[in-house]
Amino acid sequence: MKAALKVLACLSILVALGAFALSQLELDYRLDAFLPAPADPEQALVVDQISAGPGGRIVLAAVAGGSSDELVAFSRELAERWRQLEDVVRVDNGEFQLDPDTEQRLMQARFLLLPDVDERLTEQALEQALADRVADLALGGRQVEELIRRDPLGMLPELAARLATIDGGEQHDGIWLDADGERALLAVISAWPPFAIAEQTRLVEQLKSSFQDLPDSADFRLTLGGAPVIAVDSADQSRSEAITLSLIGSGFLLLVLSLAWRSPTMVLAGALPLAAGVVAGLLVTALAFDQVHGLTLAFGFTLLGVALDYPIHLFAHAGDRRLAIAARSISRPLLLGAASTLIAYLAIWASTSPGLAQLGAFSAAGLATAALVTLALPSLGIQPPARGPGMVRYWPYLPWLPLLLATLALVALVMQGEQRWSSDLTRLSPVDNQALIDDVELRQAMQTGDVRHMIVIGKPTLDQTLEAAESLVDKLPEAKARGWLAGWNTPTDLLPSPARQAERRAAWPDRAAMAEQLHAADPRFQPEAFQPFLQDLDGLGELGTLGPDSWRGTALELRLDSLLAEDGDRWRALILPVGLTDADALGDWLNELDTSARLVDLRATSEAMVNAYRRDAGFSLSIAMGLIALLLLIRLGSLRLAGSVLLPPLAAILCTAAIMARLDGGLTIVHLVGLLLAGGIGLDFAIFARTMADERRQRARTNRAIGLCCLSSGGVFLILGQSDIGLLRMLGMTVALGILLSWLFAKTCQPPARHL
Amino acid sequence: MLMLALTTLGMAAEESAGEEASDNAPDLPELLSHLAETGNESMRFEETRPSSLLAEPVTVTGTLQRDGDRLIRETSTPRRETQTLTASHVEIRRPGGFRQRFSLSRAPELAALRQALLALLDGNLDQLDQHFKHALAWEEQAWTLELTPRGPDTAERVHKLTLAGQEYRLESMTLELTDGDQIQTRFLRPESEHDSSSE
Repeated sequence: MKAALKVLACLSILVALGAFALSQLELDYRLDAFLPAPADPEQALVVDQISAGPGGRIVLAAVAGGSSDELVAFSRELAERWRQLEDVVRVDNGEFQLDPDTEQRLMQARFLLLPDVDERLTEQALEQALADRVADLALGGRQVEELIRRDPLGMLPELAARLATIDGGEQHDGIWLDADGERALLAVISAWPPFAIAEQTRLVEQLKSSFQDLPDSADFRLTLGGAPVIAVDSADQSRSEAITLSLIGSGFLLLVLSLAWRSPTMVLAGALPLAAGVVAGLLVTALAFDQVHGLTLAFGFTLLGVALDYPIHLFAHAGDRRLAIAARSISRPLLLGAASTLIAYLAIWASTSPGLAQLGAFSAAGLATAALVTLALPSLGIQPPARGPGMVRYWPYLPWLPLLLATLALVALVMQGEQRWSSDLTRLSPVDNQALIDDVELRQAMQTGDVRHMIVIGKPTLDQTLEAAESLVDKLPEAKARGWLAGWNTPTDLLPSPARQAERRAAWPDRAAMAEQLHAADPRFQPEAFQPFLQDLDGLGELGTLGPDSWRGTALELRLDSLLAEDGDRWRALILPVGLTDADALGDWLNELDTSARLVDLRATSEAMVNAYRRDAGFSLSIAMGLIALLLLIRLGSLRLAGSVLLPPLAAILCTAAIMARLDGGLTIVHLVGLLLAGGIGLDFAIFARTMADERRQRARTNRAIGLCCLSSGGVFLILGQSDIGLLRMLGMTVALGILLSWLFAKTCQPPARHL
Repeated sequence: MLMLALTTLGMAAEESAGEEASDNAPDLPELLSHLAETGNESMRFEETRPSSLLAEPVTVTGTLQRDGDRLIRETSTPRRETQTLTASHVEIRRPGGFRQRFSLSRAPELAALRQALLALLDGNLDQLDQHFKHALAWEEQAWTLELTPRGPDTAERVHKLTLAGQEYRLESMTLELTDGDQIQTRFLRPESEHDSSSE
């Protein structure tokens, strides 16, 4: 009873410490934390774009249900409602709308923003513009008079058309519908970057609840996509599913261990090493890193699953002996296994990806602590109920079988070629598969919502960057004429270079000359008709040169920031092609032009990054593997014994890799993490099965322990593998399969006992 | 209750009696049903609208045609364009691919015009009744139908819509806006005269 209280006290302290450490941690949900550190500016751009790029703030929405007319009406209502929300910068649904302040500032700047001033001022162009205004008056009457007085040349509508964020594709009655006319499409620009989880969560909830508040919402279905939603999902929805599965898994574990140990005190004590490991892991990660990624914790807890086996080994080897004796007898194999796994985790710690490095640190610290705490458990005075060693059941000794299967698996992996790897970054996202499918589908429906290609221009100063962008934009009509792209978004639409601004400023005539030209172009207008326009022109003299801060506080700020940024000691401008049909031709053409502009394919670059990343991880792990082999050789003292200990986990990993590569269409980093964990557990199995099975009673205890480990850990990961979230499913299934095979192979490689 | 119903009936009878100048002149349903016979043909029109920006009113010429619940105005002056009026918006198309749309809530006068003309071309009294208070007056062969919008949004912008014609033909329309603007439309006889049998 006294021991039980001690255990309970220790556990409470650890839980309190863990909760405190967790509350102190600054959790970070940036999607890029699990990406490798960028090696060159192009990769830096990819990481930037994935985490906070122009696409990163766009929530894509589709509304289905009802006829196209009903959808159009509903889309208008919904957009109107959404525009009132605080966290929304803008809602685009086909109708282009500007708030009065932005419109006012565009009005002031319009003389500097639009190109070809001279061509606008020819007699013919002015005649045409004023004839159009007469037609506007015929249709709009008094209501449009004010706008015509101020903008007789129609410059504001032209600017507005240039600045529409994305081309939503098909329009029906001015509203974006998908190609089949079955869904209305909307794009919401969030005020927050995708990793500002609390704000994005609030936004997504508000979007959903204002949808439901609309009177007819019951007839329609809302689907949301885009980076902010994915980020919220990964933080929120997947967390709740992970919690549910973890609870089921813990329940299962509790049941198995209660049945095996038949003592609540033991079950509680069995949790101590894991709890201590978690606390140590949290402390080390918090000390070594500024911020901890949410996923690090999830993966870290998973990798600590190895520690769950330690008390199982300890208690099984107690049998009817005192626990301290059991601890002494298993300390050698236990520490050997822990040290080997530690080597692999330290190799991950050395990774260039901050997320993986955190994961390695967390798991290494946790594992070492858990091993030591396990060996210290006897000092709490606990004692498992005495039980006999049990029977040694017959099991065939077939060491060639794992060898054969490992060879076959290796052949299968080699034959699968490059397809054995999956470089698709989106698969690494911890999100419900359906959400990912929705997202991709919505992006396709939006046509240009896919910002895969971008033209990048980098120069030391802002002015040089803008001038380079302008000189390229001057040449782009040639590429358009060849049919490679339909249009482009450039930062120089909002911020022309100072040289261009000065040129345009100089090209506008003074007030009196302009009034005369307008009158000559269309004498039907009253002489005083265009006073406000002429006043604006007069004010041009007082308007300073536009700079990167000229659009702060307006709806256009985000647009300029997403296309123009200061990057260290350089400036970077992005020109986004619209309706790109031939990326290769455009890229070659850009390379031939004597400019610094390059066409970057975000997807190809990100795939190259993932490949490089995997090579890095593979390299670290191979070194780790060599070190583990060396360690085993030194400790076990025989090449043959070391080899026979390494064979079962190695064969299990290879077979699991071959099977999962087929099932999941390529292995990802997540599979590698799973294989690593399975390898660590499998190595423990093999060490115990080989080094603690000489004597009949010992062999019976060892095999009971391994069997219980396989059932408990394997079962927990099998439960995790039932998740709808691709990432959890991949991890769970990989580990469960790896543990099962490790157990089978460890047993088949166990030579017949000498003292039976 | 019964008293109230009887009173209302009596007032309605009085009102309709006052509207009709002569006993044998066709009433509104009859006029509407005759007008509806030409409902699917295109009508040429000439419209004038004054503007404080212009020395002379703008003159718009073109044809008017219905297509289901949409009214299509194809203008040739002052600019060649097609204006499609639907229940919710106006779409403007010009040669060269220009397309623009704006909501009818921003131009209630166009909404009123569409409602009135569609009801007329359909011969649909209920529809007319739903959107307007109406008064029909005959003088010899000439008739005048005065429509006052019921909807508050339309009424805010549109004061009155007066349609006039000879016998069973629509000849002109005057749209009086609350800001004082007056849009005058004359409907011209179709160029081909083979359908004069409708008289």
